[in-house]
Amino acid sequence: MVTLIVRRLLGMIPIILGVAVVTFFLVRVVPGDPVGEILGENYDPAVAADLREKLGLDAPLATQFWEWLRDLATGNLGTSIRSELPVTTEIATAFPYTLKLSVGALTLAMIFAIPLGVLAARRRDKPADLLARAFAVVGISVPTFVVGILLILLFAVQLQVLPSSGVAPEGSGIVEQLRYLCLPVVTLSIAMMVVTLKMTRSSYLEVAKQDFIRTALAKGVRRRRVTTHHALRTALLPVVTSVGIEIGYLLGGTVVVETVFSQPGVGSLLLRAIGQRDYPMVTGTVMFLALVFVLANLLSDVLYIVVDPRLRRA
Amino acid sequence: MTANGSGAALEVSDLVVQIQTSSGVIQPVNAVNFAVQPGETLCIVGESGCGKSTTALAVMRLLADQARITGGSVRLAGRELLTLNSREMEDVRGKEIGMIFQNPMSSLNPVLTIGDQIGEALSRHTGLRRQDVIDRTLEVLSTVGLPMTRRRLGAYPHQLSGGMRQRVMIAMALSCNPSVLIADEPTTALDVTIQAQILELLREQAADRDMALVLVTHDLGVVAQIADRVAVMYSGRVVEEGPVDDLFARPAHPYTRGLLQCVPNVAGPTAETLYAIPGEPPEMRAGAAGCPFEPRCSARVARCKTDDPALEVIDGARRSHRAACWSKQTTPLVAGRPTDYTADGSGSKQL
Amino acid sequence: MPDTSTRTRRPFRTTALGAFLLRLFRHRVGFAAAIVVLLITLAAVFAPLIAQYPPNDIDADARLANPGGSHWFGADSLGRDLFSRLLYGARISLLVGLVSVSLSAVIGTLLGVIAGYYSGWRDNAVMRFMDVLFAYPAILLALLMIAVLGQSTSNVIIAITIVFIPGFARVARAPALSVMTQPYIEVLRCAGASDRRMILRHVVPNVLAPVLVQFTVNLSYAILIEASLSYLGVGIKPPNPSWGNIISDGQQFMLVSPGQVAFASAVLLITIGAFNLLGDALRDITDPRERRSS
Repeated sequence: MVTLIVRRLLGMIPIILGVAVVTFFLVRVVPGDPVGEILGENYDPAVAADLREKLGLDAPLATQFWEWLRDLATGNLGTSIRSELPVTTEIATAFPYTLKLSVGALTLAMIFAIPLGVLAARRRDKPADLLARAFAVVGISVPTFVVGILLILLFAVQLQVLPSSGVAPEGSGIVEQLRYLCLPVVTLSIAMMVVTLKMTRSSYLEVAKQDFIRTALAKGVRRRRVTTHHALRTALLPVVTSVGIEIGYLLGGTVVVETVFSQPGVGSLLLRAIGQRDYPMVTGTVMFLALVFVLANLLSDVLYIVVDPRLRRA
Repeated sequence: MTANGSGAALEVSDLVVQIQTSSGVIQPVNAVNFAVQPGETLCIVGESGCGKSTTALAVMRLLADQARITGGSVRLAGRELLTLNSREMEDVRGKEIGMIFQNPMSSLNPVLTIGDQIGEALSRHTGLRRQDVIDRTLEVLSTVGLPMTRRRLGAYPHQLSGGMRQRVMIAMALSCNPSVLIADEPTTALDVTIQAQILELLREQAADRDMALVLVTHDLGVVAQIADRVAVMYSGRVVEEGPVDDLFARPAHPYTRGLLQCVPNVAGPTAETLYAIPGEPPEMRAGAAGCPFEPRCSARVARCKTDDPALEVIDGARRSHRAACWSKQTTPLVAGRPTDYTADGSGSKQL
Repeated sequence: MPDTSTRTRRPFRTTALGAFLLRLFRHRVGFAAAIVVLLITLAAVFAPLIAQYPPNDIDADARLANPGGSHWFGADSLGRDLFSRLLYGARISLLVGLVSVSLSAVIGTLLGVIAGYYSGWRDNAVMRFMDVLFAYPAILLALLMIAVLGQSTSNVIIAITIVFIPGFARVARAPALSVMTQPYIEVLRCAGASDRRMILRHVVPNVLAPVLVQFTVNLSYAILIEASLSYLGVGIKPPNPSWGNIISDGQQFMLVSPGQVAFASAVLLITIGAFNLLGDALRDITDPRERRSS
């Protein structure tokens, strides 16, 4: 098991390096002068030269890349040209908001999707299943921002029970904080909920026709226990691995959700940076989110190795 | 002793299973009758698709969702099983009737340890405490020839060989001392040498426990090795039934004769052409008239097309040897007990 | 022994188009989705003929007009006709979707086929690069591209193209790889068939069905990503109408005039849903496992 995990860890290194290379070169090599983009059309050459030096754009590309990589290794993602704060500092301030949203959405999605997926599979082609499948089609087709807007309309405008956007004021209690998190978390979780539901359903259906389920029934094990102990346990293995990939959608979704609900997270940071042409900030946040994604993937790989005995003893 | 006085451990009468498909109703089990006494081994033999596995699953009431038992009765020591509710049936399964399946590879849960899987049946039916469950698990494993240490109970199925897995399956089925054991092609997926060991184990356990054994197989070699009595199935019904020696020596139904002739006789002349039953088994539509074997039968008479023969005692044979045929054969077929028969006509055991 | 019951499955080809359409027709959900897709496509293509107004025509008297009357779906805050803008928005959405998915399908499939056909270092190089692109969450990669290239319709297309390339490469590589392990490939090679011929005649036909499914499903994602980018203000530049920017524009006035958000959301949802269902249906009818059971 340890060998497998170590192998996964090592396999991650080229991916991270690759992401670093692609992110760097996309921003630096693509035609167009970032300085020109930043300053607008008629700029003062002196200011431009100054900025070029500040951005490290005057050095040869190879040197720039090397320095960038070296900084990256030490956890330095550069300095914002707008706020003049280190990118890492800004991310450190913003990330807790993104994390709260993501973890909340992930939890919510799992809590609903797995039982619903099992239910749909157990009642295959019955009304409950058709309803779940209809929900899946709608859920996968509806853009996150549309969900957000609809929820705001319903809960914040019509019923006026939840705040429409922003975060809880400084020092407010846990209930108040949760109230502010409610809508964005639900919005963010829909996509993941739907994917997990579909995955659980099909995986459960696949497992339910396996011979060992029949064996368990032949032992006289109660239905409920066969469902939870035999079928679900096996059916959840692929669901666990897919969670890593879905965290990717989740991170992408935070950009949208943070905009809809005005949350000061990493997604908002990135979007603002794009609007302000704050290139170090753009590369920094993208690099950071991609890293989180790669790590999430790794985590679910490791989890899979731990929960599947066939791999554990390998 | 029992309600109907027959003393049979398991008695199946007029069992009918139907499957609803988009193209009509199929009847894979069509009024099947058989009974097994305690300590007796009954082999149900037939080609693939003749309904023998479906019969076995129907007895356990473990049929797939589309298939339904539409008639007949299944009595366990006189007690009707078909009218039990699902919770009562769960109490019967594993405790009073054990079952083992064809493929020990896929029949064990890959993510649970074998200790858990055997212990599950025990703790479900006996209410033993954890430590006692473990002790009993080790005990039953050693009776099936798989002595293990407590530590080894933590092994997963993929860490065992096919023969060991099938022993685990048997241990699981025997753990609660059932009065009936149903084995559905228990040796088909195993190597020839392991097959013999597993059959020997089953025979031994049935004798030791005075347990009725119903063994479903397509392999006449297996039948010859283990059976006390044989039921030959064709197209969802039992066409001939009797003590193994009588049935092999004087097969009365043309289908049984065909089956036995399909097998190459290793000891006999070598240049002989292998016999094959012409045609293919019919589709098992509900409500078809006449004997289902009629289109392929070499001994057919006029009424075979219209009248369905019932299972009846054969003239000049022992009372327990019965066949469902309008033109029962009475001449002996081969001398001695066959050893290497395979009902699907593929000759000796598959390689 | 000849056995007619288990004839080997022929790879999906245009010669099987009739049979394919018949299966689609029998698949009720798929057929309905195909009709919706067709209707939306027709509406987009003939937008200039159907629309009563040019999409950017301002009618100051009709600001935030309610649905009905001369503006079927009402008008936006500047007094532009919503129905017309949604029609032209369909043009943009479908254009961006179709072009970007086609481009990524061609590039991705080519890469996947090359990787699967040659295996070895070429496979490694291509697929490791695809892994790197996969390491970016889709929207992030698109945002990064837009940030670098600047905001324009063609850059939105480029961004979405890049997002989808690795998916197509993976989908195309698997069947290519499995064809290459077939014994007849060895025979053909010994007979001196050229790489070009082998790829076109034997690999590509096997790759087409999964790519077609991926194509349809990705169309729905492409429309979704374009709408999201436009909603975030980094996609299609106003005043050009896109469903995304129509919704973000309407959001400011949704308390007084919810029609704009409602209509645009509905159109967007129906379109994405139709492409999604069509993709699912195509998967059902091209998947040999599914087909056997039906």
